[in-house]
Amino acid sequence: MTSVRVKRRISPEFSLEADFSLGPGITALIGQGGAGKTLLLEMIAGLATPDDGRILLDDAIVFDGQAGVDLPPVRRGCGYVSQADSLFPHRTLRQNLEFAARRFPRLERHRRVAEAIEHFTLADAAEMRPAAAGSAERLRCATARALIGEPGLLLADDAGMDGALLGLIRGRFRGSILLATRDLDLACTVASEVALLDRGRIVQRGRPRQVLDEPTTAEAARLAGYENLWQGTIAELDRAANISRLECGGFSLTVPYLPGHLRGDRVWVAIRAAAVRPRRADTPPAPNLIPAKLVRVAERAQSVRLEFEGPIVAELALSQFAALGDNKNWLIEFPGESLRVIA
Amino acid sequence: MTADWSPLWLSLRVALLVSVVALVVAPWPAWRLARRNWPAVMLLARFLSIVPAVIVASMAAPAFTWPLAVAAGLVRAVPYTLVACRAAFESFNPGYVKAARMAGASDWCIFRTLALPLQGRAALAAAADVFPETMLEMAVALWIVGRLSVPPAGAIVLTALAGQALALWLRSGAGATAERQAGQ
Repeated sequence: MTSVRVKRRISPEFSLEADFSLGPGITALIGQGGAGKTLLLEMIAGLATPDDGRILLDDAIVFDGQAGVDLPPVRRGCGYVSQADSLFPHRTLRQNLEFAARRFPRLERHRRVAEAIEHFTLADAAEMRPAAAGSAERLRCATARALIGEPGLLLADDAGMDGALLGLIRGRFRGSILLATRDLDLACTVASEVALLDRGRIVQRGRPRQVLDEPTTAEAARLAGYENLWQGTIAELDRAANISRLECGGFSLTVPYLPGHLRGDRVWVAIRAAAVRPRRADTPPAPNLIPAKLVRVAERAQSVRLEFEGPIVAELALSQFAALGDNKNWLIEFPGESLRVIA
Repeated sequence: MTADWSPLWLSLRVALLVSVVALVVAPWPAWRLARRNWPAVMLLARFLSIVPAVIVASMAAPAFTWPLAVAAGLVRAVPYTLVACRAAFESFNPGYVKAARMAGASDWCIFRTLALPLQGRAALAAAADVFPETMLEMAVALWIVGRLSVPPAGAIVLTALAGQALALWLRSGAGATAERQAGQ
């Protein structure tokens, strides 16, 4: 079992408090810059010391603030891939791997380095210094270096790993992976569990689909990629008609009946930009259809991002946008099934 | 009448010894100090590194010998090199230290295998700074006791200038090393 309960106060404004356990697969730790992802990973690795708490890696206590246990990084059985490029610039990629395997006897060291070079397809770049190697090779080398000691847990700190590299890692490493990232798509694709970290606190944990589709707090919704997030007041509750009406600043929305709430309660309403449906101004009236003035259009590779007054953000395919035409005045539809109401 | 060149050889011997000893002694404590917060030690080192005319004062000793001049020179040279090396080591990429610690490297191993190869030029530049300063101070001390004539004095100043140029070159090279690291 791998479990982490740590507390560290950095400044009067920021402290990190986390309590979670890690399963055997990949756990994605999602948070904005400055949320405390790096600090949390460094505390698990033994590169930073918590003020208090307890860290168990594979059922072994590696840190216990009360008992005064604080094992050095090399005895924790962790591999760590840092956010910044940390390959030693004056050594070749092979020498970097040899340095990481320095605690093993010579033959064992050679075997591990050779296997890592072969598995991570580094043969062509093995004799290059990091500055001469490509960024993908450097990342593969940093990953190979972290795994060369056969750790039980791999900590990857927003290092720019993609699905292909994680697949390569999985071919060699069966332990847990804690992957700090901001890439929701990557988390959804590879992770068996997701934890959302906001300003030093884990605000939600669970299976990726569940966390991304059902955020339980406004912070979790923001981290889960809900670009439209408004605070509203419950103006009407009709159990018989299964309807609740929410007043959100300049517009009102109709959502299914909200059990356990009273009229006047403040709630958050969230919807993804891709779920918002812009309509032409001459569209017939319908529920959750509100007029909006277009402020900005930003073209992306496969889609168009529309920013309306409100602020409301919509994202639609290039073809859809071309069909609608570039108008000043629009109607915006918020499909009821895509609206998330957060108490 | 031929000039007495012994003051030049004396100054060279003292300045070279002071520089070498400072270069050998200072970097390791500087590395430790760069990674720990010991304000009292740094305050003392900063104070000693600006103490003026220690060698000149040592001339007042009843039995002045060149080892005494070396010892007097070290009083300022070691703290000066320590402060300069610490500044260089403080800019050392912490990612390298973390990666080395994950591999089980000790502080001494990190210093020897990473910090010195990557930041060693900055340490050399600090020691090279000590050389011209010690040369010039020796010249002043010898001039005060009346043992310095014009030809060796000129040679001492020229040697000191050469040392200063070497320090400047090393410093610019050290800067380039740091930029290469950061730009990677």
